[in-house]
Amino acid sequence: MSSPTFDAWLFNGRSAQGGEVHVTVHGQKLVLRSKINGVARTVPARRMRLSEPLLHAPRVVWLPKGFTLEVPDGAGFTRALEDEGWTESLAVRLGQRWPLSLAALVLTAVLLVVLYRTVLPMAAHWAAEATPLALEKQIGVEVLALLDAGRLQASRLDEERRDEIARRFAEAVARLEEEVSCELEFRSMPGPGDFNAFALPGGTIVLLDGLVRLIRNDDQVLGVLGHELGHAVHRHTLRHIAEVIGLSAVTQLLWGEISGVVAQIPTAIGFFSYSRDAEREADEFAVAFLRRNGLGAEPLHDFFLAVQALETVGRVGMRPPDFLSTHPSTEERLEWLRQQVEAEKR
Amino acid sequence: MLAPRAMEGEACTAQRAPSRWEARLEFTGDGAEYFRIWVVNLLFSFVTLGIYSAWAKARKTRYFWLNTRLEGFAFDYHGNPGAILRGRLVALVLLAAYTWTFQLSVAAGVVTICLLCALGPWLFMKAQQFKLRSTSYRGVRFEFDADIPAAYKTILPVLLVWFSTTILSVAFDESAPFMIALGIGVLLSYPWMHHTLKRYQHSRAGFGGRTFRITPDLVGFYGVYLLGFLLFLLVGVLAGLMSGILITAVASSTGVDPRHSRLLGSLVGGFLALSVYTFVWPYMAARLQKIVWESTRWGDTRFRNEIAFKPLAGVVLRNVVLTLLTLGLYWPFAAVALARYRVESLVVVSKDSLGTVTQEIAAPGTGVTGEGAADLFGLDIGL
Repeated sequence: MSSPTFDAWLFNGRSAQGGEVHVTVHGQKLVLRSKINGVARTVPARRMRLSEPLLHAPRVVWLPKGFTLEVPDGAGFTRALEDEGWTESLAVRLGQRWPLSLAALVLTAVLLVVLYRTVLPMAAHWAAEATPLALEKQIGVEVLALLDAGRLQASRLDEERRDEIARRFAEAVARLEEEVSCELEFRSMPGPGDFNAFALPGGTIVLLDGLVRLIRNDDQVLGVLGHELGHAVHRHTLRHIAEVIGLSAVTQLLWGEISGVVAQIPTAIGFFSYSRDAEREADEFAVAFLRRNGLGAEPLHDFFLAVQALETVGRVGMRPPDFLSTHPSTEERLEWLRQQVEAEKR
Repeated sequence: MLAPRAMEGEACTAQRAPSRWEARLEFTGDGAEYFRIWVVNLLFSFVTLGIYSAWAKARKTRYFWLNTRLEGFAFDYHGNPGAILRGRLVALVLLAAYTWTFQLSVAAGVVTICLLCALGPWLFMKAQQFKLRSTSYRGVRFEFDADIPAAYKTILPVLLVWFSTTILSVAFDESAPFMIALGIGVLLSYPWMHHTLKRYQHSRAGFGGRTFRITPDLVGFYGVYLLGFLLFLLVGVLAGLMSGILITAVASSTGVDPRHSRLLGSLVGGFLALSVYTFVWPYMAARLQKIVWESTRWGDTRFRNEIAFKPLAGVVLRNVVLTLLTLGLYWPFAAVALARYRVESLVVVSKDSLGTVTQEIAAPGTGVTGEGAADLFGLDIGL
């Protein structure tokens, strides 16, 4: 009988009145003794659930038949339970000591990176592979219609220039070993976004006027188209869409745990670009594509050199800092392309 | 030992017998303690790809309720995580449908909206029921009168007004004069919608066999929204000016054309949103909560809400600044600070101590989905 006694209130779940009781911990049992008539009840641990121990809150014991026990001296009661060998759940134990909590925080950060860098791309890849090509083409058509209704405008390039680019591209595609179905669309966009080309799901490549105007070299334009064709062949856009959907699904589920603003950040980062690996794959495809057409890696290398120059003078807009982006930096890609060019010379 | 205490109690009651009994809600939560709970919840939620978040939500809600006390007794939360998870999945599907179907086809979008209108009132009702039945005080669960016809009668009109522009934009040009007028009409009915939902929530709630009654002042709601809108304009202009000055400074020092920078654009957007949250939201929340609580009755019991704009804005400003400075790590401390101010603003005013509610009441225990649904849609506006 060394275990201390605690004042507590016993409620039956039907009346707010409640009765005052003394609670004692005896091994794996609680003994509740009424303060009014001294009648005692013994409840074994397996027949109850306990609220987690908190610094300033009472501890609540949920008993059978809707009864609850509220122990105001939660901290003292917790010590008495510990002395008798009662244990808390893993989640509670992790939160009771600062070193463990901080370790959990670090682990969360690490997992966040792993989820974003590894698990998500893998799942997205799997989802893209499982999507029938017909559905992918349908999505592409819808996306283009959506973009046309939004910021995209008709191309204002000379018709001859457009035909020339389209003809060269079609010939180059025909020279590929595998059969690739793709279409080229010309559009323009107001503002700095005009310096761009992108692949839609299903193989449609959209080339914007600004890029053609600033890069006057047709070999370089072909290099860019080869790069976008690489994205199309590897179904990167579909994968990317799957990634964004997966990311927003997870963030929505986590919503209550993170503040609203913080929860939006991963989604926002996700929208910035393709993954590092996707860009590398597209670059590799583009180089193979150019070589097949007797050109080699040089036009694409020169294109990135030009992009770098334009970035420095602020013509194509500020990029997000590299740590925010999984996009390989222009320098990194240039370095790889330079190696390709040198290998060709040897 | 028992007798003197009982007498003491009686003496106290006797002294104040003709007047009234008042009790302020107390909040005993601790930022550092909740931080550790939050971290573990976050870790487990990530490891389980979001599935544990339902358990985390139950644990978090219980933390805040167990630390809320009235007359020395804590509130308690009994939400079943399985039900919360189901509710969240339903909400996720509906939200995804609402976000994506219109981009796929107009017909699919219209079907989704019809589905939302058909299910919405029921979901909202179930969400309220789940929330109240999961909360208890002195062992007694709160109740919610889940009357289906009443739910549809009250909430369906709100949903129809809410979606009216979207529905009609399918058939008519969005720039038609009457569509613009309709859009303005929908904006003007925001206070009415909020008022309707609040009245529904409070007037259907009950405790110990007695229902709550509420007579919130609709004109008061309109007044708060009008002043809130003016404050919104003021804050918008000031924040816009400030970011304009900052951008010019950044542009001239780095040589980057700000119009070309998406990052800078989203930073400015974030700054504007945070300014509105810091200065406009506290005003609206404080005033509306005061109106709602001070017109709520439970039997002879009234509520006095001492929540006010300035102290609330102080708490929010501090929370926003520290959360930004700590890259979000202050968030759990912020949640505790905000809860402390909001909870401790509320005073229960009655003729008699709440402990005298002795009526025997049935406590029907049911597991319900739908709580998560209201959570995700943000329908649960302001306490």
